[in-house]
Amino acid sequence: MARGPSASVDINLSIQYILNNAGSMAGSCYGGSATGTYEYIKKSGNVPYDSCQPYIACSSDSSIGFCGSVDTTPSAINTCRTCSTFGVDCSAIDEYPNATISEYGTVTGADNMKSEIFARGPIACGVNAEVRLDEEQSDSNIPPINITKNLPLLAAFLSPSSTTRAGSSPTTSSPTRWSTT
Amino acid sequence: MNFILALLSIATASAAYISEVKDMPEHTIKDDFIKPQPHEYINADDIPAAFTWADIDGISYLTKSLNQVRLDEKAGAKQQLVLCLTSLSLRSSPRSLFAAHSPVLWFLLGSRCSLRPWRPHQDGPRSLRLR
Repeated sequence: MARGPSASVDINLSIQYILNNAGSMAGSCYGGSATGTYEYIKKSGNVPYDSCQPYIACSSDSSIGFCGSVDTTPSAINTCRTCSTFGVDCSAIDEYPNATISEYGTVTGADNMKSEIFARGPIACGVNAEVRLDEEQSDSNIPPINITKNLPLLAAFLSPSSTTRAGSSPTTSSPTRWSTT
Repeated sequence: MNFILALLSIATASAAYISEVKDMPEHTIKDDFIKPQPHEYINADDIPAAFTWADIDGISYLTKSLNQVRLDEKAGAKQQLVLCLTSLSLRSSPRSLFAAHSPVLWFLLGSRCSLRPWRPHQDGPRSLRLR
């Protein structure tokens, strides 16, 4: 995405870390919830940046494509890894850039959702779109919908608290881009 | 004010939908916060009619957008759509814009919804940046 002159570097969080480690709380390729993901991150302490664990679209309950032949179960190496060169096994690293969550929760109603977006940033929404899918099967020109009226909607917000490095040593240079307010 | 969202793109080859809206067994806490929520201190009438984090005085504060289409999945669950609401007014958009299919992982939203933090000392009061 194009970034403006004063925008800092992107912070992209590791989706695969969640898939590898949070299946029983957050979900998997076959469904889950935003608040479950936030709960896991808060309880586990942090979520690594995605440079630790790139997204491969696999969870342990999936055998689609190559997913059946990769290990996506909870472990240190499936939290943050480094791979030095060809022919050498990858290894876990226990100190890594990460983000934490200070608060999260649900928000309902159009005005409340707008306030949340306006004041604190984007929110996550999930839509059970079965009704719309059924309609789309028979009509390719479905008009826009009022999302807050027509569909079951779950919205969740989170407040990032900080980015730090996990592990025992606080001495490494750690970007602190999110400050608690 | 409009709060209309175009129907999201759905490219499904199967009618066998499986709900991907799931609360997993170990997920017990849906709300964990102590600060007042914005709707408690913002008057709904004060919310601008249009606002997007993708363009504040020409600057986007959003991180990358992801398109989650699993090309090798011929059939299966396409029931839940996920999206990151970053704007107060979303109108009809290209159908591909919000394509967010299975594997539907809610965390994508967490990632999609990442926002560059506001830096008051550099960015100034937020309200002054709104058009």
